[in-house]
Amino acid sequence: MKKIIYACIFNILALLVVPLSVHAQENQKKDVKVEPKIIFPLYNGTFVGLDMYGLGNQIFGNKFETAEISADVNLKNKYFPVLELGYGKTDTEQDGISYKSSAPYFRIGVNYNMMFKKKSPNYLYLGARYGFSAFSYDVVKSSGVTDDIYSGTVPFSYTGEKSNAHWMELLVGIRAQIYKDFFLGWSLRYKAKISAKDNLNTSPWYIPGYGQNKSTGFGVTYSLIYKLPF
Amino acid sequence: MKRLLYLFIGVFICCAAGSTLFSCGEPVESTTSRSVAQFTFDSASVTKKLDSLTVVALNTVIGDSVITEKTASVSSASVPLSYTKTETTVVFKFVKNVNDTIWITHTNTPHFISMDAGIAMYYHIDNVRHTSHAIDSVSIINPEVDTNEKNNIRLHF
Repeated sequence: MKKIIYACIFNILALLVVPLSVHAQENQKKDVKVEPKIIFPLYNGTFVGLDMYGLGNQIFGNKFETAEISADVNLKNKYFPVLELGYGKTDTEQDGISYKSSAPYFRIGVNYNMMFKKKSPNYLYLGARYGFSAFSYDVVKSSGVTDDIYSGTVPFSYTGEKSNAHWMELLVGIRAQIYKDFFLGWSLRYKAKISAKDNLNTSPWYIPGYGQNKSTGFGVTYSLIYKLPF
Repeated sequence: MKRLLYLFIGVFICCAAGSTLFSCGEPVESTTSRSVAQFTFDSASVTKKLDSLTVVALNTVIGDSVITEKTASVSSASVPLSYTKTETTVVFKFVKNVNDTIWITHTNTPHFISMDAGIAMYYHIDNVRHTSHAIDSVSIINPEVDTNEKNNIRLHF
């Protein structure tokens, strides 16, 4: 009786294992096929993009608004040197304090296409950026600063405070063809501040192109991209 | 090249994870506490004469206000300074009705920290005068009073 049970178990296992091994062999046969290596020329086109996420930022309750365009060049389908130019703006009021700033910024860097071996209109890339902005800001509390211990109020208004900031970004992104030479792309960015100049009596709260003046932060871009016809 | 890519991905993940951790360690941005002048007492003499201390600020909103009241191990006191006047007067009341009045002359500058942390008054201490019933002398250790707590004035007995 035991022998019959063992035989049944063996047969069931065999039925399960044999197809798997056959499938594995088929996969091995498939792997043997060598795809022809594509050699890309140095220049493969230029892309220009418009970031739509920054424009719609305030709709989602964000205090900062940016308008940004970018241009990058496809080299060897692997490296994409990038220049990003933008204009950042905020006009925020909180607890009676009004903060205004608007200024241009730029970022330069490179993207590395993870799918460089494939001749595909879609790209998955990692990238790095260096960013800089020189800006001025106004910070005003029209009601002044009230002393709740000794009484009295002192005026508070600093306008035209000048500052500048440098930062680095690491990013991951996707670019997908939607129609002929038009693409949609997004990128997620990790930002790290290198420096931001403080003034004697104020510190900048907002850095155009970077966001809130913190040591690190995250950013998102969602862009409509066009591949130039040359 | 693959190793370089893996390294890059690794760095990215580490940075992202690090950012999450660092964001937790970011200075807490809440309503800023008021900048106060920190008084410390000369350690050599403090145990002999000071087992209790009351500090009274004069000319406050409610008249004279007790701002510090300590009954044991007195070694320091925090004194808020006026936003609008350039001189703040406080009375240090020691044991057995021994009082000393201190006049602190200061320059006031409102300072914007951030939208979340708000505005804080920073001071530069120009001069300190005092009576000498218990206090022997006063020295300004650090004339700058801001939100970073540090010893500003030392009292010698």
